[in-house]
Amino acid sequence: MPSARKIKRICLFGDSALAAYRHALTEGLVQLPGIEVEFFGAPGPSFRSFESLNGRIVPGPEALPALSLVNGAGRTSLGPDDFDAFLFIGARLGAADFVAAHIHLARGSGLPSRAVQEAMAYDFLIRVRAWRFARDFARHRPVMFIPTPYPTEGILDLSARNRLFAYYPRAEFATVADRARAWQMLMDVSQKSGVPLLAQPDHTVTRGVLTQARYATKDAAAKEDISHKSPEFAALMLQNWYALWQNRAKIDA
Amino acid sequence: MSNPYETLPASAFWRSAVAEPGPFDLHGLWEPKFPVKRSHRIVTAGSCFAQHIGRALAADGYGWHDAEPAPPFLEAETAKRYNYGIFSFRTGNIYTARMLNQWLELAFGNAEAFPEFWEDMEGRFFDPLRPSIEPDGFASLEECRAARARTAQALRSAVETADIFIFTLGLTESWVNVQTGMEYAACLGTSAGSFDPARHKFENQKFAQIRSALNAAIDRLKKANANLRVVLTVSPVPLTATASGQHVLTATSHSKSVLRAVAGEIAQERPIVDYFPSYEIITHPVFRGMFYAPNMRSVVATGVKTVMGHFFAEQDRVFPARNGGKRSAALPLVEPKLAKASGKKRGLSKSDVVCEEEMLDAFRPQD
Repeated sequence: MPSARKIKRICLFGDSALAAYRHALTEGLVQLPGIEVEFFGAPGPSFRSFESLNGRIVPGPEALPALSLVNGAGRTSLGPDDFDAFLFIGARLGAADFVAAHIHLARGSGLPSRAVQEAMAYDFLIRVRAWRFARDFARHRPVMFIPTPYPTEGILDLSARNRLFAYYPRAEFATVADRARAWQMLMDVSQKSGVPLLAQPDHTVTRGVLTQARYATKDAAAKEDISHKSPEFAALMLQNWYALWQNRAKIDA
Repeated sequence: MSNPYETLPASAFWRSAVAEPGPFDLHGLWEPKFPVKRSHRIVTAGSCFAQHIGRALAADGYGWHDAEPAPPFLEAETAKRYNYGIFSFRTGNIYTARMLNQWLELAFGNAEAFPEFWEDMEGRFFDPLRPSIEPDGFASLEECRAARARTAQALRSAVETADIFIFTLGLTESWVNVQTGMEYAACLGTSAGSFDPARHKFENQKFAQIRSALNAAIDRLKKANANLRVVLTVSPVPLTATASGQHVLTATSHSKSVLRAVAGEIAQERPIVDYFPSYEIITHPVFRGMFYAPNMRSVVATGVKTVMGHFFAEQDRVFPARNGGKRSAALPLVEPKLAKASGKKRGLSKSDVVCEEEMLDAFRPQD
């Protein structure tokens, strides 16, 4: 595992979830002393055009305009040696789906064997392109992944057809222990591939696998936006990441 | 002078029914007793070949019931590796009627029956009723027991809610625990477990024994679900190995003949039970072995298609209105070109079938 000691430049790679992190940093909601941050990514539809080419993440033509705006430094591809560390943010890794499914099983017919749970987690992760990027980068540099947070409560009826609780109704009644067990499974499997996941703090969670309304993005209700979160939420996640990083740097030292 | 044969249909005479039409134009091989509809909930269990039947039914839009589906997110290959979606529940292959009874006992009788489990040198646990169900075994005895309980529950729910139960008889040869009488899914030491001649014995089940076990199983199914209909088939897949002392070819003939006779008799005796002749369609000399891969054991895809083609065609013939008049998809009966290719690389089975029996082959003496 690459060392966390000498991190001076970090890249935040992701989809539209990056917006809250950008706000959090520019509004001074969080400080990362001694670390220079650069963003690399594009919003959802064009984010899908990113692919791995000769070990570098390259955008498809449709992502170039958005990337230019997000990055602002003229970078047109991203390689593992370009930064000291990488923080993957959102990037289509919707951990809520896995956590809710796991809880639904645990509270219903029962969880399958640990081996099958690990296979579920691995198959869930491996189909996310950005997680595969992270896994490849982790062979060269420290990497951490902040999955897309749980959906925000109170905006949409999540029991309606094709929504989270329609598939996994028992997840709504998850206990802290249920959630921790599901998360731990996902984290353990991801960690085995060198990609530690950063958990959403439990005090931001409500109704099993939802994010409290206070962390919603601006005008979330009007936009029916259950995905994006506020800069305060992003600041909280960055603080947690920074604390973990500092701790790890001490251990490595 | 007249005789009883004079009024019989063409299907009763070899020349008109077999010799003249030839293998590609045989009809009326099966006179189904009851309709199998797309709206029916169909459960499949048994030997390797039952996997093909379930898959073919699902592919043609029939209600093949998966009572123990794979958990979310598992890729198809992963699910298969952990034996999800192979049969209607995660029992693995049920080769004999007695093994079916053991599973039914767990589902409807004593859930704590058959308390034997195996632990290997690395502390992994295996279920003797389905030793290959998890490729690396279970992490703990508790996990192994819980998984068995879940499968028994799935079997129970499947039987209680199904319309059709298709069971494929596979073997007469079996291995049992001398003290408890429990039958194992496979010989100990092949896929898991450790063989001990003082505790484990070989048993080549006899006609009367199998007939009694199968009748007991059907009684149990009927008690659980009075509306359930049973379709029996016999696996055309020869034995991988025999412990009978006979040559494996003659041992195969003996086993399959006994199973075929049991299935035929029970189907004649019980109105809720039918026998579908998939065994004959694959093995009969009229087909000249064309449905077997070069190892003369694996059944090629064309064979499965032909079997299911007969299944749907005869159902359509006898019960034309069963699916609202809509005929089944034209699953082709055997086509000469494909059949010819079956002897070459193109027609080989892709070994999609999960078979504990295959383990035996891995343990055969090397030259």
